[in-house]
Amino acid sequence: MRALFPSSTAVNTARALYYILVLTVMALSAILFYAIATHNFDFTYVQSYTSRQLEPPFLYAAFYSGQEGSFLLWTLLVCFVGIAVIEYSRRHNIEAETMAFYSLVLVFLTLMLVAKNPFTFLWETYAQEGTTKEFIEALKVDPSRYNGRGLNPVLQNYWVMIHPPMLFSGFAMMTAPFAFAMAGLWRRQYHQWTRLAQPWMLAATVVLGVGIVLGGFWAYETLGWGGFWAWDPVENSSLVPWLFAATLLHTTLIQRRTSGLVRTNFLLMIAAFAAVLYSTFLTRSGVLGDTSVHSFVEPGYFVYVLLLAFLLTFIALGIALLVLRYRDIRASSKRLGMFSVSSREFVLALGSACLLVSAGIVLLGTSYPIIAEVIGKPKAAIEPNFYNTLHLPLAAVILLANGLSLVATWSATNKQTLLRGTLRAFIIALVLAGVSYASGLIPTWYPAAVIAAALFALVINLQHIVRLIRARKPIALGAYLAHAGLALLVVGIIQLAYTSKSDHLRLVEGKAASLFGYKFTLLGREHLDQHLSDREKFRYVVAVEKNNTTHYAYPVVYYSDFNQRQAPFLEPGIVRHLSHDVYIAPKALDVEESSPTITLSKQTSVPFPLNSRWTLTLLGYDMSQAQQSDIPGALKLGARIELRSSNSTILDTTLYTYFDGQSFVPKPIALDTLTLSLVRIQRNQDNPERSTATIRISTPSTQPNTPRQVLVVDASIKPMINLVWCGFLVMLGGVLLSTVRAFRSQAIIQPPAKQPAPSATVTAVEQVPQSALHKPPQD
Amino acid sequence: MKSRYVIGAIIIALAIGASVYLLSESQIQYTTITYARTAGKKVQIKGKWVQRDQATYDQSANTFRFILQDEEGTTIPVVYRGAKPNNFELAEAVVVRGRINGATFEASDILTKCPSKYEGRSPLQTQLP
Repeated sequence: MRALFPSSTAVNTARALYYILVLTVMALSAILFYAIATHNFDFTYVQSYTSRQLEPPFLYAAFYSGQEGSFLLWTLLVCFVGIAVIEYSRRHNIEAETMAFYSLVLVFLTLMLVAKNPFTFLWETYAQEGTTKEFIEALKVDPSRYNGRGLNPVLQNYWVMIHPPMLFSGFAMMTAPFAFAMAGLWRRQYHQWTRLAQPWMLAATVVLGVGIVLGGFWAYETLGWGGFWAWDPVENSSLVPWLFAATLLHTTLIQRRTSGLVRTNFLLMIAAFAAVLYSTFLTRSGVLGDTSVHSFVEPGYFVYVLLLAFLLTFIALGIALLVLRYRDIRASSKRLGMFSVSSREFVLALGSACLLVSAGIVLLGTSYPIIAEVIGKPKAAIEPNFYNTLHLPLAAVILLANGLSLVATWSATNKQTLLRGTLRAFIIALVLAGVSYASGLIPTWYPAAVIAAALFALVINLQHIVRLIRARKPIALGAYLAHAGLALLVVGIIQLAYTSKSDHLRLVEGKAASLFGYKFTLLGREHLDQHLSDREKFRYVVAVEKNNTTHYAYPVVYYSDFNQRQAPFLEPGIVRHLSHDVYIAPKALDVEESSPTITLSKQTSVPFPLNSRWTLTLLGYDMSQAQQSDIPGALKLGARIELRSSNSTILDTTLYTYFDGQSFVPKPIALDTLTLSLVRIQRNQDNPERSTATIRISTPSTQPNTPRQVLVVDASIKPMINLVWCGFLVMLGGVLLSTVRAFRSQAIIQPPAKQPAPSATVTAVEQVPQSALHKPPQD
Repeated sequence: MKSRYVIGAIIIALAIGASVYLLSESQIQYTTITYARTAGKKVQIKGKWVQRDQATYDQSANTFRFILQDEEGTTIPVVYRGAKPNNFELAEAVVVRGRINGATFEASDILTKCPSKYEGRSPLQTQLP
């Protein structure tokens, strides 16, 4: 027994060492931060992700823009969370065991930092290319050459600044409950850990959830994906740990109330933590390569192996401990009867099982490219349809369980209670869903059925929320808010999915275009950030008019030195209404000549734009003077044209243009008040017959040099998008409230005066205090 | 305890059944033009944009047409309802997703693989030997 409880000297030493580790990681972070802030491009990392032109706060966000820095940030956050875990586990007399597992995670993370070192010098990274320290030193005299690549403009955004730290904080917090579970197995305390882990699991659920939602908001607001979720592998791999955490919140509640699901919960906790590591593996090993927008560069074989070892070690460790204690758990567990189908624990288990299935589906779809490779199937991508179709029925069951679990009572529910508790919600839900289906708001019956389930859950939760507000117990609202938020979210998602409309639109400056009852007019563009020389950024102004009220959307198109201005970066413009958004995502840019232009191929005729009784014919090309150009270095190209009225020839001539390899400079010909110029010849190498000539006809009133801007966009109406954001907010706000409550109630618990003997604890901790998450309804 | 396992098993069996079925339905294979001609279902083909001067964009119909050459060297005209993707010229590879209809490939999506997705080019690196 003594071995299980290390001497206080050993614990004190270990604690001191842990703090030294924390200080070291903090010092490392400070050095990297300083190097970034002072533009020390000697470091490959600083050189790769920042530049002199990069301004704060985005400059500081470069800290975690690459793999090395993001591992450092993760390590730092795990270190910080660990300080709190030390205090917490110390109070609950399980510090040594908890921190043994917790620190093992840090061992792997710091090992990863050795492999992905953010402090590699350029002359080390590029040694094989022959770069020497002297060469870099010599560059320093020239600030334009001693500069970095800069941060991807896509990442220079406020949402993205908090998105990764939030995700990593969530991941870091997931480490704590895992360590509690492992310590519990070690100590043979199979129940206590669920109580210890609960506030941490709640906190991880909030923080990870906020991180995920921020990513979605970023994709919608800045990237122009048109939605908040694309089932992208990287999005998915952060969702899976969240789904496991959400499942665990419910299954550990069952354990605390019934002492059942002991081994299931250990297994789930191991799976949840493994999901965090798997997520890292997917996003950082380059294994998904082509299939994601996120995937980073290939990190090298060593890191790949290390990541895999990280993942497998913790799965193996967890499973091994569980197997070791398997019989002991069975022997010490209370024999439970069957879960009655009408009991609250059954309904909770059902909902949890569905959450698990959801996690499984996302895991399967995301890993499919890897699975396909392992089983030797051809490479394939999974369509979002896969996830959407499977989640519709799952969502319905989860929401029904959500509502029912609040009405049902532990161990068994009286039929009358069940009927009385659900009847009102059931009727309201059916009526509302029926009305929205009948009125055509939802086009088909099955999404309407899911909406009915969501409304059912919403009404029941609202009843409880009202009750608690009347009873002045706002702190107890957490779970109900979270569940109501989920219901709102599902209603929003389904409305959005089934009723949003989208179409392509060509917006020509000054001309109105109509779509979905709106009038869209491109008014012009504004040159932004003119003081920054590394970019050319334009904000387009689009007037969106309906019923004589006009709103403005501002899609952004910009060119950056980051990709040598070869292709523009595009941001959508959004007009926000309470009930819907008008979403304008730029797709392509164009210019339209202000004067009429005609494009013709050889031997074709078209009506003359300014007089339709005349015809313009392209007789052929004249390339004979190509080399005898009067402008040096340019080719002189000609097009023979004929302009005829019904009975006579008005003009029969050759139009010339000078081509310098880049652009055409026409030599205009006057016809009364008109001017004809050959503005372009498009040569078709394979089939010269299909070469075309473009002729511009200018009148005295037109100004030939002011071409009009054209923005090709996807314009869409997004109904109920605000309900989606609101659902996320209420759901995560609810979990946050529960977190606060759980930490508070944990703080009240006084540490036991004496360490109970391990074998006795099993029954000792059985008498778990009232759950913080769910309280049975008091009425 | 038993009913719990039975119900759990039913849920899991249903989920596995449904997901395996849908997985085969909703996966889009990376394949070649030759295979896509016989398959008749939605596929994705990775290739290059060739005969570039034949590419056209029809404003009124909002269709972009171009010729794709897959990794086996087979070519096919592609029709895409939408504007030409902005970085199309620079893409070192193009992935089209859709199905073959007659002689043309009707693409529902075009993905462009750019030489440097997340990496800028360094003013310093251009100086490296």
